[in-house]
Amino acid sequence: MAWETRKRGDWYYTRTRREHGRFVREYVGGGIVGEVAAMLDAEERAERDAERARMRAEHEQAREVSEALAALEAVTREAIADVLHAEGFHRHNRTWRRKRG
Amino acid sequence: MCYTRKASTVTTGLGGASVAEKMMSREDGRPVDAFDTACQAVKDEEPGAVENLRHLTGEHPELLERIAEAGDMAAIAERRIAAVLSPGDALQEEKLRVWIEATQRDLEEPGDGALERILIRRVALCWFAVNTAEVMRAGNWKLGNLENDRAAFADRRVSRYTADLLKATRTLATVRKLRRPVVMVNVAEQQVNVIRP
Repeated sequence: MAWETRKRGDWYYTRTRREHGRFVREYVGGGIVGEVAAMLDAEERAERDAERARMRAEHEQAREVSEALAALEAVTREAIADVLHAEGFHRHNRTWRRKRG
Repeated sequence: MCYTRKASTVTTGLGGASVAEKMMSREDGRPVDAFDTACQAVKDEEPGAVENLRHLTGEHPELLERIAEAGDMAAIAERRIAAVLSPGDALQEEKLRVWIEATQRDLEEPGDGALERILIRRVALCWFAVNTAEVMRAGNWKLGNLENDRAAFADRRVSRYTADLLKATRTLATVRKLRRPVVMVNVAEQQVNVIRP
């Protein structure tokens, strides 16, 4: 929790961050100083969350478009193979060739 | 524009006329194009067109089903891409549809059949995806909020879609080259096979 209760009964604002795999707690202050720090941190956190959500949406969008194009590619590949086989072509070393004779 | 292919020793040895006959006869067995023509005839309400279409469908059911499936998949992909890139924006979706139709018209060539048209649609979709990815990347640069992760992601996306576009274009070119009718010309007893555009 960011707000700590002291023995005197008042509140003290702290920040916790990770440094080299350890948690480090920074003691910011109580009263108005603590409240301002808490407000700024909340804003920063909200911005970070929004940015993360935007990134997630962009990744999701890219994945959907790629999936749609990949599905179309798979179906067209099969269609091409069927049509070319029916028209007398065959595949040799991944290259389509016309059958002789 | 003409594409020329070197004549093989076997066909040169067989002599011009007989080989030409053989090659021309190979162009007849194109059920997909015949189906395409039959569909157009039905649309134009030509007499006997429906019977002809039924006959063709009965002769090559799997092949025609495959082409229809590819056509459906192209339509599904178009709808999905429109929905993803412009969610809930009817105007943007309409713009995509119009852009794809115009691109298809630009890319079509005389002699293209049903298969080529599906491949053209795929090229148009890939092209649209590349354009959109580039616009998004440029928009991010303009806003100045392109951090390292986002910049790398935007670049990766453009590269991936560009690769898809190149693949689709190569496939279309290959299919066109293979399916074009071959005409043989003998110049000073040397046979040259010319593929008509």
